[in-house]
Amino acid sequence: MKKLVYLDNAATTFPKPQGVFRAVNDALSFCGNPGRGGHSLSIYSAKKVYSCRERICSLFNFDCPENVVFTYNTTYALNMAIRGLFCGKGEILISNLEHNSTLRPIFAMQKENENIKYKTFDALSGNDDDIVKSFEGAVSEKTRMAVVTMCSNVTGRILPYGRISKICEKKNITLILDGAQCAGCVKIDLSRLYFSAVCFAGHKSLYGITGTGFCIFGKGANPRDILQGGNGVESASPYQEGPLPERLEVGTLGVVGICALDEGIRHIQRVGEECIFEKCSYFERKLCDSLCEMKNVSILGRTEKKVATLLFNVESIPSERVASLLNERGICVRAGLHCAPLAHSSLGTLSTGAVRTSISHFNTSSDIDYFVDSLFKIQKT
Amino acid sequence: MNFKYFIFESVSYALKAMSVLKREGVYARLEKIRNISALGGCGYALAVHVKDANNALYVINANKINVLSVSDEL
Repeated sequence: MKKLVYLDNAATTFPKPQGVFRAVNDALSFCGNPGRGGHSLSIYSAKKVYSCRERICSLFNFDCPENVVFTYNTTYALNMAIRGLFCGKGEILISNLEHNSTLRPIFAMQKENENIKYKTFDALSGNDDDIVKSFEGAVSEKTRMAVVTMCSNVTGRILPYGRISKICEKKNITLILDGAQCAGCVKIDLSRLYFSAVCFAGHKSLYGITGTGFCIFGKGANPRDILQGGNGVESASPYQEGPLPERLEVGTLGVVGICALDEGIRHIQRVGEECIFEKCSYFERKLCDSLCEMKNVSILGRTEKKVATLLFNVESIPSERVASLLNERGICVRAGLHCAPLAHSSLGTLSTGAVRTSISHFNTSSDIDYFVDSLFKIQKT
Repeated sequence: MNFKYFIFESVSYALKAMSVLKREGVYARLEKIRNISALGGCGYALAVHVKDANNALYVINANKINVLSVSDEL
């Protein structure tokens, strides 16, 4: 059988823990539509959904399960938070590492309303102090909202989001954090952060299945709904009112995915985020050291404070071609722009793209050795 | 008439109350209800045995969970 080495975990993790398979099977066997009916399958399902809200809170040290709103991915969560919390005028501050899931809703809002402006700050170069200075320098009296990734999906850099949070608190700026890339592999303590919303993917490093995401709204945040429909609350009213989370969870929830996410998080809690981070970082350093020895390979945007994502290019071979050649050897990586054009523009790779490897704690030392050996052969040709 | 019914704004609040009651050793059963005056439509209630009702209300209030109404029957 052909060897398979999966190094595209920043897109979605693979494989999933065995418990996730069992959770999916259990959900398909016993779950009805949660929060709608009074029969046993509906009640069982509602309890499973609420249990996942509680588990998410225990992972992030947050005590309001009702502020956990399930979505279908981080993009949906970010749209919900950005559009639901923005006051309608003023400036939105974003970093130059943001994903299109942040950029596009803001650009679309700007197109709809000329009173909305956006401004970027540099989060690529320098150390944490430089990033904080850059953020502080970009804040003006017009700044109403900041949307900041906690960790870049392109370079893996972990931003100083705690310090950014303190500035936003002091200046009364609505802060939305994109936690898609670091949940599960970096310890996040929401009880110590000021935030209006934090958006996560369920299917990445939380080891759930695709089609799951969620947004945790800060205490006191009162987002407007961006979609309307049935939610099992105040059904006789033509308007969608009532409390979180149901006010924003219209239509049937993806209960199978939520059960899988619950089990994915249980897996992380069993293994420990610190342990996952250490293992992945060790492999990333091993990978980086080996790539540094290849004269035709350039590593891009690497910093010390990062998750196990590594970006590189091979001289004279387009990034997509490198990914394709790796795929022929059974290695899955992601090439191109990674839906983050500002980051690639800042790195000088907007026209070429780059190759991204991203490691999960299911990877092994032999995966890394096989990848290094394969890339060595590719870059020599 | 062995139960008191605690009506909540949403299934999530009912389950939050159920969770805090469980921690305090109070058994509660989740039930679907239809109550236009309290809920403006459908919703959920917790059925708690009358002997535990006062304690349940204390625990729910102490955890700042809003109870829309407490009823003797659904």
